[in-house]
Amino acid sequence: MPEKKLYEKPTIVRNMQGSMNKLAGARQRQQCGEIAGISVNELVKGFGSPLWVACEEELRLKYKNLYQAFSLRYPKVTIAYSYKTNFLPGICALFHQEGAWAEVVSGFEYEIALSLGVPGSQIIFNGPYKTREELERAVKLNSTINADSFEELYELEEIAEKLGRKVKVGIRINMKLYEANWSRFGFSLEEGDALRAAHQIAQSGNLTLSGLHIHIGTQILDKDIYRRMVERLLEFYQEITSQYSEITIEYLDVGGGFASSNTLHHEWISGEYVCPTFEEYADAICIPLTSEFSKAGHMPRLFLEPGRALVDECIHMIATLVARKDLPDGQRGLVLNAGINLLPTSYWYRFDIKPAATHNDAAGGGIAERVHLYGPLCMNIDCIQENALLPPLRAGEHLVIRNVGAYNYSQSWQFIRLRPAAVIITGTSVEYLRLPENTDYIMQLNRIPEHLAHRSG
Amino acid sequence: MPVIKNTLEIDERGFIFDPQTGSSFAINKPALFIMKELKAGLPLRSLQEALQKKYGIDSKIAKMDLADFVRQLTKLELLNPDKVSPLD
Ligand SMILES: Cc1ncc(COP(=O)(O)O)c(C=O)c1O
Repeated sequence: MPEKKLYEKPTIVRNMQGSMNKLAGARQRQQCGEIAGISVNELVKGFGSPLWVACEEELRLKYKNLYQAFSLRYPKVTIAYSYKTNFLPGICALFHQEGAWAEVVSGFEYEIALSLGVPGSQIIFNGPYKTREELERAVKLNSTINADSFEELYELEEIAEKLGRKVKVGIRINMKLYEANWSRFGFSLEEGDALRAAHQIAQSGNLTLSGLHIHIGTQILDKDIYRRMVERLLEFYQEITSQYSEITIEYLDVGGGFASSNTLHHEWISGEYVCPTFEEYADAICIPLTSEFSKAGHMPRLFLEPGRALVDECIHMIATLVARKDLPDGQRGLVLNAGINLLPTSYWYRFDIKPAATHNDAAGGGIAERVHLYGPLCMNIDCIQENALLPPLRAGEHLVIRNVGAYNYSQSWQFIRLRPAAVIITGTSVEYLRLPENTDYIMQLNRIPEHLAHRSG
Repeated sequence: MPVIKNTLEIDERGFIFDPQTGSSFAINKPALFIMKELKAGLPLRSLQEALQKKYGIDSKIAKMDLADFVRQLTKLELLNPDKVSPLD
């Protein structure tokens, strides 16, 4: 019997002079038929498409690698997983099994942590808006609270007074380090507000300044920004501890911000090549710390609040092509069943998108098509990626949109369609992290006033 | 008369040149198979069967892919203008 040739959709593309795509053909030939050893087809058969797919082993490995990089360089390190990055309880629980604390920025996130059995004393409560009730609970449960504003400090003073005890508080600090502006979070170092906050705490009879917190942004590709940040944080540390001798800073919390290997739209080089390693970040942060504290008797604990770097590369999305479109200007579009409401970070990232099925490579006579990848929403901005180079695909074929663990599920919104399930692969087993939404779930909070409930005519 | 322009140069390595417009195109292996059959004069209605046989694919896929490919050829103006309907 003659060997059947590998078939793919017959396709013709007009040759252009020069290459319009900065990544040229570098990626077009790869495929992704499996996620953590489970075939994409099988996953779709069992759980549908689109589908979020998390890989347990990779998540655990990321955590271990990050912890190891820092704990080898500084003796007192605690990682608090940033819930907002992906608050699927199964994901949070996994990191808690590894030893992580919870970093939360709302009462809602705080409750998820409690429901997972995290003791209040292992929750770091951050964020620009904490209600009175949320703060009071956090105080009672001995959480680490990093205050964001003078208003919050007054609130905490009142709570301390009411409870009749001293309350420990950290302050979030911001400083100008690079172009991005994070100056609305916490107290400005340059404006002197950080010092004023320390002063206010020192003056108050019932607050104790116990920590300094900073979070300098996200997807920080330049590790040296961390080094500069730590150096300035230490200068501030010196300033306040020499001014207020009664202060003992128990912790320095340097936030999150470590990058994943995803590629930002403006980058010409793939993110894999520009993303610093955990060791490089750890050097940038721990070298100034150890040189400061190795001579001192006291060594504050180092808190890290990573999100993106832990989850982004360990969760992928399967989507399916539903239609092809020839655009009037000669370009081609593919409509997928997953839109920007599920993948909001497509606004920042040029995702690594691979077909699940094997296609011919150039040597085998294959070609790449330049296509725009659209979602299924009825709005113009629903474009997951422009100018993707993919082998010829037909409706029904699955694609894997890789490395979408951070800020996609947690920022996804229900719009037009119901949101899909999330699963986790552990060895050879696949289990739900979240069931697919259904109409009852979405509609349960709605009420129809009686006078609107009857159709006229 | 073939369905595609008879002036098209079809290279075995998946390169198509249209001397009338100066445009060139890249095609994959299955498309090359189709272009060669078309140039040899195979009518479109026989092509689906030829494609199925060559690659062992089912008729639904062959039909859908072939229709899409002919649409591409139409839009790229590679069909023979003398043929009134490319879908005969
Ligand atoms: C206070 C704080 N900590 C940690 C994080 C996690 O950041 P990343 O996902 O970049 O590590 C954030 C994200 O916005 C944050 O605001």
